[in-house]
Amino acid sequence: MPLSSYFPAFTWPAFAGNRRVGFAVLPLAGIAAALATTAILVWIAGANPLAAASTIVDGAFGNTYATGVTLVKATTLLLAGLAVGVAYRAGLVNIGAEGQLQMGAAASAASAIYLQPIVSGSLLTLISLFAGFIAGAIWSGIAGFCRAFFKSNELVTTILLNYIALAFVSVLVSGPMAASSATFRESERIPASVQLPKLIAGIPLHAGFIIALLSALLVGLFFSRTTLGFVLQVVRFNPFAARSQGWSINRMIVLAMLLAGGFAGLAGSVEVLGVHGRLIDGFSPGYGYLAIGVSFLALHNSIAMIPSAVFFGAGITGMSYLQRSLQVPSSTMFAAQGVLIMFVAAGTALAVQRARQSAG
Amino acid sequence: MHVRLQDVTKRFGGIAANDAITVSFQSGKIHTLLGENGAGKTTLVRILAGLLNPDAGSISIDGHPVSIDSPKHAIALGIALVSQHPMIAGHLTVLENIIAARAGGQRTIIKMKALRGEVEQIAADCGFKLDLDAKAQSISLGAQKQLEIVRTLLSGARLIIFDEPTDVLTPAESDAFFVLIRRLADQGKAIVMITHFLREAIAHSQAITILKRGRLVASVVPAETTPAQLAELMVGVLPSIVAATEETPGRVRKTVLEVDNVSVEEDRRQIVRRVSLTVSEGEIVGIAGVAGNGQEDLIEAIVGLRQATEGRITIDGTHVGFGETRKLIRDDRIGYVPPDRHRDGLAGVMSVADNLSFEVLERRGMSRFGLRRFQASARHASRLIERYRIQPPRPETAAEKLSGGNQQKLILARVLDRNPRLLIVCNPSRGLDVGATAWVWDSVRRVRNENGAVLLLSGDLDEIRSLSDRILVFFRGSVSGELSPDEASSERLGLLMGGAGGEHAA
Ligand SMILES: Nc1ncnc2c1ncn2[C@@H]1O[C@H](COP(=O)(O)OP(=O)(O)OP(=O)(O)O)[C@@H](O)[C@H]1O
Ligand SMILES: [Mg+2]
Repeated sequence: MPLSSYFPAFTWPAFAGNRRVGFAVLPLAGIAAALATTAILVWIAGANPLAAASTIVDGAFGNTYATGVTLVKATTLLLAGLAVGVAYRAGLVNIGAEGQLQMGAAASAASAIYLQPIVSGSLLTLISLFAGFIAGAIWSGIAGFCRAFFKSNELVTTILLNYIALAFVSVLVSGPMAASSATFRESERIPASVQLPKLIAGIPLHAGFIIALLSALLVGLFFSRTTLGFVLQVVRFNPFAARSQGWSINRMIVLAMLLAGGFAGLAGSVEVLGVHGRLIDGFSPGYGYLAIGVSFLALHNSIAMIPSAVFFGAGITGMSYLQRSLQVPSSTMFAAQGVLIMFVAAGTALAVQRARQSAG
Repeated sequence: MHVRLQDVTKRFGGIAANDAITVSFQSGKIHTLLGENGAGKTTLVRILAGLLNPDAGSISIDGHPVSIDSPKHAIALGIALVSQHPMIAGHLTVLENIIAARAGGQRTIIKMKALRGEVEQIAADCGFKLDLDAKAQSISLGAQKQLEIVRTLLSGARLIIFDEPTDVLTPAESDAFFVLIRRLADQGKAIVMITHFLREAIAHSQAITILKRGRLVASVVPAETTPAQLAELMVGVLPSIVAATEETPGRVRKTVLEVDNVSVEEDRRQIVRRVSLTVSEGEIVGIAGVAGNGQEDLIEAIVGLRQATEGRITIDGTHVGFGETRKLIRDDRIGYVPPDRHRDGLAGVMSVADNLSFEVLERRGMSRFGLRRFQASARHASRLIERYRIQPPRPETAAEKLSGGNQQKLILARVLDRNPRLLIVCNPSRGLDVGATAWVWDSVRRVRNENGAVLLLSGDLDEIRSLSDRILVFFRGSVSGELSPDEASSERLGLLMGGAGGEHAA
């Protein structure tokens, strides 16, 4: 019975409790717990947690430039978060946004650099974005394909694909795509005319921000209004029902993964075209993993992911400011990120479970 | 044990599912709850099992007031509920599922060996032949019910509640079940049973309580009543029934479905062996058989959900194959009500309107350029809700919030409404009250009378007999006999279903 592998152990209506817990506060409790833990980490690192808190807020939103940086991070996080959320809403767990984003960045950079003799300007920008989307889609499509046809768990395959993608980009920028003059592992620079334009002069915020907002909107519409989005959700809520309607579950799994990875690929593209202007080894401080937190905190709702992405973006800029100004080691920052994702995911997962239980 | 509910009330968004119900259950007695779909039976027993909190009223056990605020607490008090749908973890073994009843307690180390002995003892006492090491999802529905009974007994339950227990049991299994609960009652357990089979209620219980729209409307002594009387108390006067056959003699009926030498394999084992059958216009062909004898798999092959390893299936002369299900549904060539509605029928968290739209999702009018049209979908839902009397009549309700019978009506509604050329219905009246059953039988007959072809699969022999024009009996993957409804006595059917006697059909 291969179908059972799609199916959670306890079918609805599972063992339902009836206590009225204010489950809506759980994601917030998750954030609170994460902040408390971070405070302890900061304290261990030898700084005053209260001073640290105001430093973080200052670093993230203290002036227009800082706010711009925060929104730039949020842009990438939002697109990568959509990759997690789209998969999740079709009943799949995509831990591979990081790898998909790397592949997207590579494809985007390669097309922007090597197609210059043929096309240029904003047409090349569009082609480059498109290439990023496709590369990300293919990368997660592999995981979707394996899930559909070999029943391999996409959670595991997407993680494995992350390592391959990271190594692949490293190899690219050390050899085949390496800039001739570079001391770092990086590619040639993409001409400014091909890069994403800045929205406001003097602030790093680029047009990718608009792309991300539009993407979130489109994903929302996709699930709420299209027949395909509807079918994907049936597959998530009850694959058996989808099957007896004659909707191919395998096809839906591949499709959802393709779409999901496409957005992560775009996240890589905007990093290349909007932030760095080239492909750099290690350009992502783990956006693809933070994206899991972005999606969970928003309960996988693409519109709610907008503030969620800003929150996580502020975390990155704020923490790195903290690191610089109070000499808190960077490992503290990574630990704090991990703690945040963990608590937020746990809090929201619990909230969802409680909500379903109390609804009985 | 004497469990008393006093003025128990439970409301769901303004509707009282239970309205000031006072009733008591005693040791030694089998007490049946009757009522139409949505009357509040399941709600009442879920309150007892600690799955729902009542809004008002009180519960006492042997005179002591209790408040049952969790399933764990209910078990500690000796109350256990065997739900309509098996509550099991399919990937765990039968034994693991059973001892889960104990593992929830204080002990952190499970004494597997000792427990195994205890479980074997209980199973043997009940006369069950359970394979304790099989995966729970791989055993039959009847065996899953046995699993749950052993689990309740292991937990030391003294009040055992069964919600529509015989739905998934074969006639023989049902008989054994009633012998067992009689014995449990004699040993001092209190038994509560919910059923829609009025004969069962009269034959096997000592008290009958009837609910209607959340209120207790009558308490009846089984020995002093008749099915007709009970039906009237439950639903009032039954709707008139469409004539069983409206013969137009001499008409040539075209063959709609033709199954020619079809085999189906699973895990390299033949589960359907070279079966041939036909269904013509204006005909209801019934397939009887103990669940798991291949009839469900043949039906999946017919609707294109399963690959036939050999043979040929045609509908109106055109070949149909694996993977064509959606196309067949879209073109109204088939309508398919799967055997296990709970598993295959609904997406429970989605709304009634969404669930009603499944079959017609891509139709013109319901969507345009791949975009759904919500107004059309809402109109469609309202029409079906009204026409098929789905309660509560609110399209935005999550489908899992409907009572069991109303979920069944939802699935039937969206299929029957399409007037498919070939209607394939499995267990259509399972979980339906007498009124709704009469009504559904009516609708199936109407399809036939309007020249549709119907293939009916049912574990309910009464249903098979009253609806079918021809009856095929399935045993171990092949047709073990063909009967006309007049020839189909319970004995005869029973024998054929067990693989004995009867001439082989073509
Ligand atoms: N969790 C819930 N949330 C909202 N409404 C509910 C819920 N559970 C039950 N109801 C409603 O309460 C009413 C009674 O439902 P219940 O399941 O008790 O009926 P029932 O008598 O068991 O019917 P059936 O014979 O169809 O199983 C129905 O109208 C149902 O829709
Ligand atoms: Mg019920």
